[in-house]
Amino acid sequence: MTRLRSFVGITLIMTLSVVSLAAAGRAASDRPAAGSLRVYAVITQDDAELLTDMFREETGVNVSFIRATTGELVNRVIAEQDAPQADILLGGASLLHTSIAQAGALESYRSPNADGLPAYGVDPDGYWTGFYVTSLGIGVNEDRFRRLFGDTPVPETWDDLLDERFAGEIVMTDPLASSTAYLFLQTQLQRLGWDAGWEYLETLAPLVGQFPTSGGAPPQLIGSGEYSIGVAFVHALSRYRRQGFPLSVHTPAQTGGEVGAVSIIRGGPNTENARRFVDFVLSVEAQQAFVDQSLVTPLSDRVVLPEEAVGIQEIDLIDYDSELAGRQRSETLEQWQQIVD
Amino acid sequence: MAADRRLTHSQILKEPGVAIFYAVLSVFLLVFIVGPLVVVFLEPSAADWARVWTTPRWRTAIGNTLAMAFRSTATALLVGLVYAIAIERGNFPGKRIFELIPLLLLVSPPFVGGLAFIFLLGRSGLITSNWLGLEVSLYGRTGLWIAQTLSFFPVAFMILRSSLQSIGGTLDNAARGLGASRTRVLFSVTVPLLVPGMLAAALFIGIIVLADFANPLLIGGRYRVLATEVFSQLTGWADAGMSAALGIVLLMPAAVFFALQQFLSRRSHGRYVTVGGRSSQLPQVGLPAPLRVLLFLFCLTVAAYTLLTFFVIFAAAVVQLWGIDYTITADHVRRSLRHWPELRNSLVFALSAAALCTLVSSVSAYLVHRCRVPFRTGLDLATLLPAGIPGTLYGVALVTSFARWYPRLNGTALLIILAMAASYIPVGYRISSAALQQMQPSLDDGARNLGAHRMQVFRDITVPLTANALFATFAYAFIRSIGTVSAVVFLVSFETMVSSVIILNLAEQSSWGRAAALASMLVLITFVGLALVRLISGTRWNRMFTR
Repeated sequence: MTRLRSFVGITLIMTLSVVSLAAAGRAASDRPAAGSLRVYAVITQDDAELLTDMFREETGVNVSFIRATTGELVNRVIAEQDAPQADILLGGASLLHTSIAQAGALESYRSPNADGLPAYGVDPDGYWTGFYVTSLGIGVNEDRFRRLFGDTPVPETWDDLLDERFAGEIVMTDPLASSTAYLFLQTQLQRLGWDAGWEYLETLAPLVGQFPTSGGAPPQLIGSGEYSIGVAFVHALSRYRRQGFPLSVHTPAQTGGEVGAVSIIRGGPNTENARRFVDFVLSVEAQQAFVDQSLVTPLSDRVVLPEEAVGIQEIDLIDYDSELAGRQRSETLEQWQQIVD
Repeated sequence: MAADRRLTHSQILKEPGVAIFYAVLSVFLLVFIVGPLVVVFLEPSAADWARVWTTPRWRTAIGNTLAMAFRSTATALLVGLVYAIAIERGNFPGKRIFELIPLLLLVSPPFVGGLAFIFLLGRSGLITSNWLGLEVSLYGRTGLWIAQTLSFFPVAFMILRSSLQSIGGTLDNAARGLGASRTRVLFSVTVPLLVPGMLAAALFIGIIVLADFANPLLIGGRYRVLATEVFSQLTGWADAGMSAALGIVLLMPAAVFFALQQFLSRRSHGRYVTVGGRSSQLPQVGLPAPLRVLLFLFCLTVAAYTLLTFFVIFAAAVVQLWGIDYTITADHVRRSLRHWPELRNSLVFALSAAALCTLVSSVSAYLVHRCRVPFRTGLDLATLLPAGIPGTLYGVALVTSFARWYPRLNGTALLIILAMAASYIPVGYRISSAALQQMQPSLDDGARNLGAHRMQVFRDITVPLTANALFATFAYAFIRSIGTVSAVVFLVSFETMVSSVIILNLAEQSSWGRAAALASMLVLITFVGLALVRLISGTRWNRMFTR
């Protein structure tokens, strides 16, 4: 009996090893099938599912996606230049798309559906096309805030955040891992000027209780009452408010925002489908569905603004110099690492 | 008459089976383990090294990593020790259930503990907020400490339990006969005899804590440790040099622990045979009643928390949002079903990795311990090498070597299976070596004298007699592989995405419900897989990992 068992077991192990190595070897020589589409998605898992499901239904193209942080996907696109794995980079600040384009990893494409978009929403060289705008805001969990701070007025401006009593109660994303948080750093530096900006950040940093790596985390962390104050994108905060969490959302004056873009990866396995996907994302139906679910600020004026979303006219954006932000990236993050341990 | 087991260069040619295995194994180890590590060592520039020591963020991370390794190891050891004494000497009802509790933790995917921690002890956790009404934040040092203690005490328990079993009752009874009290027997006979086991367990846990990735990522808060910094340097900043430098820094203490471990196991080799064994028929001396009650309560607490761990993971999967909205919903489960391809990948890759790991580790153990092939020490070291290497560093090593030189391997199952298998080869190797050393070499010699080739000996004698070791290796590699995130997170791609990475993604976005639903499915798959291994091998649960 024991002998039989060990015989069966050993045979299984040997077979599995051989099969797995064979399968792995075969996979190594596989190219993705034509008629499919592969997307690197920076937008949330939910939103990526919405858009890819709609596209699959409309075109019958077999589309799959990987969601990860902006930084990781940007790295992947640049690292894979010689043998691109994906066709589309969906979402993320236009600035990052520009930097990938400069590395030579993007394909230029001007979609007919991009007509009528404002000039700042389209790359003059056609490497990326904007499909939404996001801006930074402050979210407050009213229940937790009242319990901890009584009648203290809730923070509504950037300077309101610097109250020492808020120590440990603020949550914002880690600038090293998340472009959202880098936008926040640059917003302060550009709003106040370099030196005063760093003074602001040095005062704020010790008050922050946690720096999660994903831009999507702070809204949920304040929504579920783990922290009372969060810095995040306005639309992400509004989403939790819509779900019934006791959140108030504030759009501070002099805030930072960015255009979220879609671009085509040069030499991807299915460039033709990639063009169709860009057309699709910019179509009114896709835009409407995407804005309705994500509550981002639409770029196209053909979209009906949902009640909970914020229109572009309602945001007081600073004159954000994204080129300067790109140039100062290393320096800024380096200095940030010096003040936050 | 014992045949000469040394195999000279000329003899190896007469044994084509051995020669082929030897060649294949050597190439495998050189190409997939030694090679990538050499490459990753060359990755950081001098400037990167300078930045490691001058940036406050990393100096803090280094300090934190070391402090946490010592802290968590100490407490995990203590909890494991008390639990082992309770099970072996407590003599209270329910022992059969209590002894399965640490095993349950040992075989669950690494992020299960972290997720459950958030649900139970988080800022709006079930225990902290709902039951105790506390307004505390355990995220950071304290939380990480608690979570790692709970995650890794089972390792100490398994090791110390088998030490306790081998001590036997002779010495206890002698001490009692000389007039020592029951308590005194425990503290001046039993515990001192456990010291070698404790040392071994401490080193083993120390290495695991250093490399632990899931807990710091989920509940580390602002408390940064190197294992996660290695990750964020590569994902956030595309800085492979810095990432590698931090990984190598992390490797240093792990290497020291590893060297100590080797030293101790070599030195104590052979002693276990003479001390104790199960030969002693004398019953062990029991513990005084009050102490037994305390131990029982201790076990009850640990068991309750463990069962709650699994309960909340399953429960969080079927309510809207744990801690806030307890409306029952099938939404998370339904949406997790679309991750079936990733679950299937996890299962297939983990099975393949386990098979590969079992094959490599057992062949290597046989060649080193039974065949006296040339360069045995090198082979021995190369096989054991991954033990000290944190999963994230090995991931970085594969990305900077293979993925860069041969981009078509990017995102293939091959690299992922390799990354999974390589990490657990040393454990398998140790299991197989121990089994081989327990086997009389005269069996081999007898068969050889009767004219069997070495490969026939391996097939007909060694493999059947060490079958349990092979199953243990397979089971261990399978459960570790299916849950691993750190080693594979850089390697996955479209067709090769695995569910543990998706869970990490969902948890990072704080989509707790979906993360819990997917984690539950992975836990179930792991348990079913283990049950199958158990069925085939016929090993008892609590025996599966005690070797």
